[in-house]
Amino acid sequence: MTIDMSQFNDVFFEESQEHLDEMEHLLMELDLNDPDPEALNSVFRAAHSIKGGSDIFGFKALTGLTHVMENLLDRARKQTIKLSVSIVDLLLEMIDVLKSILACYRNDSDIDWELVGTSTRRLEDAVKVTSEDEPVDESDNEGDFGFFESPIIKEEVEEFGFFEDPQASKVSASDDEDFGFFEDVENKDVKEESNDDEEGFGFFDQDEPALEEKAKADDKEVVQSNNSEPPAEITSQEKEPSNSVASVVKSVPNPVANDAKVVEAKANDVPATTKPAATPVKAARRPLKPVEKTPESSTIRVETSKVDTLVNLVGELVITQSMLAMIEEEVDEGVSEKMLIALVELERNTREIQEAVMSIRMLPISFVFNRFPRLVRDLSSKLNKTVDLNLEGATTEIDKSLIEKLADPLTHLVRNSIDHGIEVPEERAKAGKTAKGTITLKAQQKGGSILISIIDDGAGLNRERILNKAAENNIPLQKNFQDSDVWNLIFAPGFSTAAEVTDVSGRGVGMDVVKRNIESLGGRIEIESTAGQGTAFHIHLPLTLAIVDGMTVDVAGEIFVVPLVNIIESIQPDQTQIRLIKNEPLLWVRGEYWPIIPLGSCLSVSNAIEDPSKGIVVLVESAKKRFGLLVDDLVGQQQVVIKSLERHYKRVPGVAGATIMGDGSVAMILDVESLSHSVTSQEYVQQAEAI
Amino acid sequence: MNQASNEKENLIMDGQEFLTFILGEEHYALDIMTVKEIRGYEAVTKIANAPPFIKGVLNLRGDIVPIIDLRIKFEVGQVTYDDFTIVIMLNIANRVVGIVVDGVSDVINLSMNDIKPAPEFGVAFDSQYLHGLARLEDQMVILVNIEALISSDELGLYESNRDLDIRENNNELA
Repeated sequence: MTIDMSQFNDVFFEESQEHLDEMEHLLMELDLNDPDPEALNSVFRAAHSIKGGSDIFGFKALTGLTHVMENLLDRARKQTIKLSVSIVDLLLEMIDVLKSILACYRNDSDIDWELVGTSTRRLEDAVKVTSEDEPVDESDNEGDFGFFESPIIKEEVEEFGFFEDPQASKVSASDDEDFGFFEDVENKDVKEESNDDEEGFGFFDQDEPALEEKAKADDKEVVQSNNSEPPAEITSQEKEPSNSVASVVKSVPNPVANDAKVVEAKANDVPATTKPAATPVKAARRPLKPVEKTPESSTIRVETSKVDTLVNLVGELVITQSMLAMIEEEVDEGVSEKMLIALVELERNTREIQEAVMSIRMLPISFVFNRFPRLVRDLSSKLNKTVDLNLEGATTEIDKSLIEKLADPLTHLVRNSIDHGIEVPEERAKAGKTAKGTITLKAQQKGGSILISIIDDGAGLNRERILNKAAENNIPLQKNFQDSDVWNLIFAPGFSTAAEVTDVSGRGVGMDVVKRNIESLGGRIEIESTAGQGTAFHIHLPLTLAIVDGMTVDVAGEIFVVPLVNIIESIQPDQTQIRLIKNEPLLWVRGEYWPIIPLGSCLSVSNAIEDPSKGIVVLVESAKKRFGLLVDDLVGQQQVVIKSLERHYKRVPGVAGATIMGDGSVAMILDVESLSHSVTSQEYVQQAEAI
Repeated sequence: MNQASNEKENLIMDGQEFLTFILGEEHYALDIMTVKEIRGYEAVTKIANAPPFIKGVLNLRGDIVPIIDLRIKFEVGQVTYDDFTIVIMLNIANRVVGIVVDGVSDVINLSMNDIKPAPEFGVAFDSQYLHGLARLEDQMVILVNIEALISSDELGLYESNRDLDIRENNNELA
């Protein structure tokens, strides 16, 4: 059987990258005093998967290094060595090396063999040092799943045989303990189902899904050997019903409650056909993780362009559906009723499709956040600072395309906070703060946008230093600079107040790139800073592609959408509620004066109603201001899909995006936040005068 | 860098195909490879505070696409919209934009020898947006360098190119 392996390369790269990320993540979370064996197993499995895969694809640099790494991890999880900070550090470093090698293979660039060599030697040394304590216990190997540990893939075939020997009863016992794991991965999609032939099997063994499948097979074998089934079953395992797995566990008096629960659910659906295994199950040596803790779920890899096509097509479907609804009004009465029923059904279905498709693109922001514990750990130890990282709102969902582009700016900001923001412990103590600094990464959905904050409790921005630096850089300065204006200076290109340039930050290329990156996503960045108390960067990002609940309003025949989250209420004002101050109308409602923005003049629509008592005022609230929008009429409330104007045009002030209405026409979605800028600060003066 | 790429775009391949269109009384032509589709003029949604020649945006199968009227921008011909008004949808640098014209007439094949340099004056478009002039059956056809025109700062359709270039370079650095 010959397969063109190169077609699997991309899949291998993707998966290896994920495995490395997972390893890093798990190692970071590891409690060194009481390491979680499941976590160690996962790390080990990840290394094993990369090793196996790289061997098959001929990425030798990866194979060698992961092999040694695996040896070390193997000892760690069997607790023959004690994990120390230095070992974890070494492993993390090796993960970085592996990542760079992976990148080299991916980009077809040259491998730094010297680095691979030294890295391998360092790992080998670590293994040697640690293995002097205790020889590897072979019998221990049997207690666990033999084939996971096999350093060489070929051995796995032999281990199949092992399961068929008389010792099977012993294996089935230990088997049970690992059941939790296999059930967990069970959901993961099995890519190659009909892989009966031996050669192919060797290949797919490298992948986790295949491992899981093999595990199933092994379970079967265990049971079957108890029932004196011929060993030939092994090649035709896919054709076998897998209910034997369930029945074994069900019928065995099982002290491991977790286990039984997991499998029993399955067993209920399947009639038990095999005789129960007679062996009593050993008590578990270690507690099993609850199923839901394992993040593995059934996923498939899909190109984003395919999802985008789907999103567009669904948009078209929605429009076609509303066209049908319009036609329905014109058809004969007899047909009309039947058609209406069908249309209602169609509407519901399309709405559900739309929601489902939209949710495909949304990912929790933890995809970006998860890289930061490592970054903070490495950087703070390098700079001799102690820093705690808090992650909040990591489940906030955000469009995938934003996630990819957020990583760089956020990394810059976090690095900056550690390098410039957080002081060294001595200084912190002097300032009466805890020696340990804190950085908080927070994500939340606020109105129609996502707010991501990077907050540190460091020294805060230094107004004097920034102003001096600005003068040095010949940036024109006004006399009465507001603090916020001063802070914004740090976004100027080439601006850095760091006394010395470190390799962490201070080159002054960071912040202006951050700002531009965020603006290219249609977002904006704000700084809040208090001297001595810390700095907060707030990034406001639009929910591109998200559906927004909106109120459609009419201004002289043009339709606009006001995001519902911004709306407090809509009223038809009485003449008595309106005061004119310096020709600016103010609306007295709810015991407050509200400035009124006539939407027509704001968005250059002619012939709009200008007298507030003749139109409708929509009271809205932005992050900082409350005001009324004067419109001609309200049209209705509906969900709209935000489409980017910037895709083919550019950003328009006051407009958050566009949407396509039921009749196929385009309507602008208003950005209340930026509209509020036209409410000048003199409103407060006016308010004061009015009262 | 911009300058260099503009010069590159100015080179015309032998046998390149052009779509000819009419603005007022004048005949123009643009590289047919930039044309996505040709459709009739339909109502657009206005963009707040945009210059008059940017008519607005419309929904092109789910994409929000700006429509510009070159007749307004370059003051040629009568600005009328009727059943015969045509919009040429262009795909330039992965962005789609529609231009309003009075009509499209033909697809022509031109070689280097057919093309004369553009005059410095007498044409509505600045010569930096022109490939040159071609003579076709007693008619003068003005070859528009549509890519340079659409992405020019003068039209201001997109954020200025220099900004984008810097941004890209910086992204690479970052």
